[in-house]
Amino acid sequence: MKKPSFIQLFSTFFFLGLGTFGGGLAMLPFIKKQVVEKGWISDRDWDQFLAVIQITPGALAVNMSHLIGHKVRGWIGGLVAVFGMVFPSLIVISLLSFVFQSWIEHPIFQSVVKGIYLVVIAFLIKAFIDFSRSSYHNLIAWMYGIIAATLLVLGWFNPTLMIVTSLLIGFTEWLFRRLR
Amino acid sequence: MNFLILVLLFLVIGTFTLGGGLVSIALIDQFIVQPGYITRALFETMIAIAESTPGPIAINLATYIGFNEASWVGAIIITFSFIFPSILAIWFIALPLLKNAHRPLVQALMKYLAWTVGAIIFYAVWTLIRSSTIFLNQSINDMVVPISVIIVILVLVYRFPKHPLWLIALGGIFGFFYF
Repeated sequence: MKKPSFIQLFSTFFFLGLGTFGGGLAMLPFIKKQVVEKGWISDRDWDQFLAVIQITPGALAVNMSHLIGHKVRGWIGGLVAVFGMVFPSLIVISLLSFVFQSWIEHPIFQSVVKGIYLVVIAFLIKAFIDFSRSSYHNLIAWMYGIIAATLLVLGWFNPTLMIVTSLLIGFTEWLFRRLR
Repeated sequence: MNFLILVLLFLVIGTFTLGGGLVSIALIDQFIVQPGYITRALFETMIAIAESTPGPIAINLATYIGFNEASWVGAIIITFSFIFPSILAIWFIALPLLKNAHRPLVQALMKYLAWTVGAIIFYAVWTLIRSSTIFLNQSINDMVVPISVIIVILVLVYRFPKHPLWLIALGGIFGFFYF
């Protein structure tokens, strides 16, 4: 595997952050193309990273950048990749905020915003479908997911409690297998 | 609103964003919009802008809310507050998980965690649809067109996964004529 310099690492993620639209989920294929082509990580690394970032707190693109940076140049490399990914957003959004401040109340702007919001909902539904395809492989998994989703929608569980519960169930299952 | 509270809220939001940045939208809704720190109309505008600009949507949202509150300094501090928990999570959760992925305990924990994250993503989508001004307190008849548009765009997302910007533009044009 090749080892990039910190400057190469920063600029790669900077331009990925600057040039890709549609949020982290849409960005992942572009990140993969860059880092695998450059020979920084293997396909197998990518698949492992993908499985882990989905259950790690934070934005997918940021966490993926962090793991790749960490893999090629240690913990400083990880931080360099994260800052490369985040930096364009800081600049672009801050500049746009100036421009949009005077438009926000305008009716035409509000109409356009509502239309884009529908696209965001479609992207969210895609995120759910894609995640389900990769995580729910059998009937038990689906039943677990449906029960968990129902408890969340009814408001009986909040997400935090749901996560803690799932860890306890996993721990119990492991304990049972060991004792048997 | 008190800037320090906003920093703390984003540390919490960053910690509980599981399943990707899109889930953070539902958390920002819960922690910042519902208590009334920012209006829902402004929030939906922020989401639309965050999605239409390059970069991860959660980072764009955090930057926008931070800039809205305290200019450049606010943008930097709030964005950092959001990513700080995930930086720690990579060091102390993700890297140890990768190293111990073969152990039965880790596999059992990851299995149930993944199943739960799926349910949380569903819950996030549900919350954002239900609470949006497009669907909140609307009659069924008024929902038919927006729901059809969502379905059409969903089909297009799968057909053209590498061109999200065109779909965003399409949504904007539809909004211009419809709403």
